[in-house]
Amino acid sequence: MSAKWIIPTLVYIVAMGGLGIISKLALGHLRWQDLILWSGIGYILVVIVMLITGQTQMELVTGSGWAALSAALVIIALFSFYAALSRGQPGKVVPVSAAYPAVTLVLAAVFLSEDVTIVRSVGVAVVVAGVTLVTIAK
Amino acid sequence: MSLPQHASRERRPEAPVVASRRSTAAWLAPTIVYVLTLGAFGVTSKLALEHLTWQDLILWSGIGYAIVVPVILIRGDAKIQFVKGTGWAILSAAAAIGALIALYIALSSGEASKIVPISASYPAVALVFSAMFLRERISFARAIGVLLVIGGVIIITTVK
Repeated sequence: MSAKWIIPTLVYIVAMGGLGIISKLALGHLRWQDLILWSGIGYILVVIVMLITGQTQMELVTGSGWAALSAALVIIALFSFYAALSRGQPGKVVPVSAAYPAVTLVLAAVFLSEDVTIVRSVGVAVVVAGVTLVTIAK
Repeated sequence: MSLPQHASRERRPEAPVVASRRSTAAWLAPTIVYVLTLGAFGVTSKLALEHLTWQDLILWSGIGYAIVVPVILIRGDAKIQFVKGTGWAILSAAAAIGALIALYIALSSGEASKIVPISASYPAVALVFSAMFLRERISFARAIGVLLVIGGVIIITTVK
């Protein structure tokens, strides 16, 4: 069974689950801009270490455009989410924002030719419904 | 004494329907941007990982933040200071960076249409953590939500 992706995906889920709690504790004293600032400082330090140790290098090759676009998208997403939360109620913003896997599903079928079956689509819908319920239920 | 017509117009409160539409648009527009950008992020990352390593993608995220951080500092939106909460902010940054690295590693070996929906289930984990570490109560409705998330993940991972 080729499932190398399961462990890093679990690490991601646990790290992001923990991030929600830790960010809440930080936001008790700081603003969201301060959290972006510290994330930025963290990324810059990690990149410096990776460049020094030769794990990566600055070069424009095939795929660099997608990598730059990915970086831009994740930063824009973060800013948009904070902007939405500062203008609307979390009870409305979070359920709508939880729908992003559906966009991935469509784009993965179009650009990566991945098999997007009805069953997988149902699975995504169930996850989105569960996340929405977890977030908005009291 | 009656007010002049233009003054009374200025003082008249905005119609509730118009105000409601404006208030909806204020949060809906950035939320749609979030859904589209984060939805596309999994696919563009996968396309990049066909040619590059996850370390290269972190490099580009670092370059992005190296542009954003000076802008935040120059605009005065935030400043580097060690106050109460800074420790949690640093830990948040470490968790966010660790999470992104893990996601890139996962995307380099699996399908985006599987990994992104499963990775989106982290609010259920946050709920369990908040019950464990912040002693928050898990209501029946939220417990149902966690079960739905688990069920959805099982469907995505096991059924073809």
